[in-house]
Amino acid sequence: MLTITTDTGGHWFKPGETIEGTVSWHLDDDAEAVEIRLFWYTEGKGTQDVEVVNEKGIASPDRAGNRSFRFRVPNGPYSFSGKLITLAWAVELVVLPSGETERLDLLVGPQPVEVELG
Amino acid sequence: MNTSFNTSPSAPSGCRSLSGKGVGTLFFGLFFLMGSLFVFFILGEALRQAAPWWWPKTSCTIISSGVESTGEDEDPYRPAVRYQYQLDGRDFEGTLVARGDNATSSYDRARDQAARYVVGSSTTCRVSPTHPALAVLERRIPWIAFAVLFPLIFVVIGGIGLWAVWRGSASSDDADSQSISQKASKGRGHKIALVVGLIFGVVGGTLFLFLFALPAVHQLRSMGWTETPCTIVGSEVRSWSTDDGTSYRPDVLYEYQAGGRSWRSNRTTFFSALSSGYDNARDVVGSHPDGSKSTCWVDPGNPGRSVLDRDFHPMHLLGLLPLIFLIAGAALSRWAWGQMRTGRPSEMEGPKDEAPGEGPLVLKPQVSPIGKVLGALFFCLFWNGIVSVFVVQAWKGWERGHPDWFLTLFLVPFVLVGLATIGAVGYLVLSLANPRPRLTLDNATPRLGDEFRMSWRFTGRATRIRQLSILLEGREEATYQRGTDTHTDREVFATHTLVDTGNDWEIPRGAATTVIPHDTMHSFEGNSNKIVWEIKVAGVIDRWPDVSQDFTITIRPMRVEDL
Repeated sequence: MLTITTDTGGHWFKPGETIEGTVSWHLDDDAEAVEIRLFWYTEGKGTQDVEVVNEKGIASPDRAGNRSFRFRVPNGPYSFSGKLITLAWAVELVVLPSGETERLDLLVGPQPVEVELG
Repeated sequence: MNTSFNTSPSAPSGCRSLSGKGVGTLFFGLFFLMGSLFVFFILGEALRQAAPWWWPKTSCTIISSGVESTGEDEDPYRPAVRYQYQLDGRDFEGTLVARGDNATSSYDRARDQAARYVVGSSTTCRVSPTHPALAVLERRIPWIAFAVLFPLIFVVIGGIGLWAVWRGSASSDDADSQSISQKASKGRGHKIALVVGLIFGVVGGTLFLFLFALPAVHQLRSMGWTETPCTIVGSEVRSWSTDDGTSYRPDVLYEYQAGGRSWRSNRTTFFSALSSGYDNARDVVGSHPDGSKSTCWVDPGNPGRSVLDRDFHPMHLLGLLPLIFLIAGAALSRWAWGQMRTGRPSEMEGPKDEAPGEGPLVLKPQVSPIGKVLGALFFCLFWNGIVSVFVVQAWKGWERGHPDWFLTLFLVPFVLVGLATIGAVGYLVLSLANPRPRLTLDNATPRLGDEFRMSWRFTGRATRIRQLSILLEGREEATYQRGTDTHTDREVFATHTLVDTGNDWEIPRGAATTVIPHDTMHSFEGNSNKIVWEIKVAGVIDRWPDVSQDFTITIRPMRVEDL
């Protein structure tokens, strides 16, 4: 079982702010590593773009544990939604090598709603 | 929103995984095995050819020297040199010039190679320490070793595939597909693209060099050669089997007098690599029958060099085809290099807001007018060059009274496109005389919410412009694959009119101001998805190509301190 929580409980972050939170895991098998990744990805008509802007790895973790994380949100890109492209942000906790994943969707931008295009 | 993707492996998925591994192992294993086998054989042959580099030297005497026929159509000539040497008090006779296959399709090459060994002269040969009857006159670099690169590609693909199947198997199962961040390329794709682009570029460049550039240089040089009568002493169509069927080549051996002696050569053209095909070979042989008299062109500085036909034929333009690979490879490498240089930060802190300096910025157009002309001209020459080869073939059919209707009809749309490209080049050449806009942004780094001030000035006769409009446009661009084609869809989401005037006194120069909304999207560039902001300048000129130029600008996110 994997969980991700932010300290504030919120999902909206302005550029330049810091995302602070905690991840925890309870694994059935030993893992090589767990990784916490802050990334953005696109959805829509175009081929998906994904960019990990920051990540934190924990090598040879115990089967159960937790770890706090702290990521500074870059200036962009903002979360937006257009007719062709949607861009979203998330933090993922990934167990390697099994690939077991937990994701926390975020909104990055100056306003608490994504930028609507068109 | 918290989304969970925890999965536990079930029996069916395990079975699928195992069968997938089996297929993957078989597929990539075959790649790896076949590639390795070829690598083994090629390296073995390379070592065999390189062996004389370590053989001891001994003195030998040339007994005879000339050119002999191999009896093979693909490489019908071979230097025939016999030499004598002594070892441990025993006499030996050798015939090998070098290790490897000395046969060649070029009579000139075999002749020049044999000419290095004058009958009765002494030279040095290399003798195998284990087989004294085996000797060579020359040590050669085993170029065949470079052929190992081709099967090595299969070895690498097979190896990476096997590694991915077994090492990466756990992370490429069902659970992996649910991790979006795992799809981030981490630059691997760019590195592969860089390598693929370089391979394409090198292969394309090499083919272009040998198929067109070097023959064209030789052809130009031959313009100063001497016209010399010659006699055809052998003329036949050579044919041999290849992987793609049967290859044909005209082999016309001719004799001429130059520099006080008699010479033989079979160089019919410098573009011999492009003179394949039975019809062409038959035509060349037919026009130079055995025993006939003809004219050849001889290099006055080196009478051994000559050519039978130094005319340029449209078919030679086929040698330009590899330029496609060269240009595509260079473009791919340039793009991949650019992408790699903008890698993500490795520190835990996020990236800084890297804004270029404030202050005015003179914008450069997306494509300069001369760039448009050159691009269109290249495409026009390329397209029409290729099409003309087939048009000439079709035309010959009509001239002979046996028109090829299918070829003629098939060519119609291609010829129409060719004519359109000629028209486009003409249009763009005319537009070179247009007044050209020069745009300056007061602030080089406009941001969302900023006041945006842009000034323009035309060079040239701006009074010819009857109506001028300048727009600031924001649009989405999404690139995707459909089958083997790459498509890009565009959707405009914002248009701000900066200028729209028909007043003569306003058109030549001026300034415009607008406020970029704070609730829209800044410029963004992913590999396949983009938000593009562009200033579009359009000027209407009566009875002349219009002014049309686009300038991409970068609109940055709001300042952090303003949020």
